[in-house]
Amino acid sequence: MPQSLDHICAFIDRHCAARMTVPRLAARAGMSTFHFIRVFRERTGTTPHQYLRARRLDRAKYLLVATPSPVAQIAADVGFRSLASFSRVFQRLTGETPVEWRRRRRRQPYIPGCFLKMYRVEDR
Amino acid sequence: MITKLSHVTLFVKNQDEALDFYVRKLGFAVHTDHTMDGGFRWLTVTAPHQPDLEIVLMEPKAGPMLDEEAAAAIRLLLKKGVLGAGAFDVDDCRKTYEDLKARGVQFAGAPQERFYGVEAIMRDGVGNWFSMTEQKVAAAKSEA
Repeated sequence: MPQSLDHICAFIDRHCAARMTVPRLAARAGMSTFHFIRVFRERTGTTPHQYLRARRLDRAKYLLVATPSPVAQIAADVGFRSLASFSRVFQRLTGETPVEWRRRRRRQPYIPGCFLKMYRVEDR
Repeated sequence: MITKLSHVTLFVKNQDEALDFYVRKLGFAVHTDHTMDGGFRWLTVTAPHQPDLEIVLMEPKAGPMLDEEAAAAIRLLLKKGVLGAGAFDVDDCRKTYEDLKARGVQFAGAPQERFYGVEAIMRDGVGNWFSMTEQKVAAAKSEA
């Protein structure tokens, strides 16, 4: 059964790291690729490919500041085929390399207070 | 209004060994691995299809909530390996069982047919055991 665009967007949000193509997404929506791209852009203001890329970068930004994972690992974890392509896209859209992004935004991780209290760690 | 569970605690004998199991053997992702001043290590992992549920891998230690007696009690339970921590969904129990066994994961036995699906019981090696279940509903959906 064809899925609505809301379902398609939710699917992309949840599985952005997986390999996916616009034709396959169009098939999920029960549309031709051409029609799907047009309808998607009318609804969201972006193309499916741009939407997917944005979700992947959102996830990468979070992982860069919240985890110690190497940049190459993060690139793979969010669905990019190579570190080079990830770095290129990241810098083009943010103006910073992934390393620069991480260095400027590294912060204390979110640790719920109940856990901090368990081990007598001072609240931030 | 509460919307969802964001963190769940899994007590483990050793965080490094737990990291090896959940990340390198099961394929979970490290969400946060941060050691604070004073040595408190905040280590959380996420399952492949649940990036917004952090599993907190916690060594039981004395503090305001757990006195030493309580922490020792949990360590004993972990040492005995008797804590049934939970259940995982799996898409193909038999295949995953073979894959994980090849990676050194310990199971209580081979996958068994149940009325709800196919299930195997595994140990994480750091004090907990889990069911790993290919549910019949999920199997029917994947065949559709």
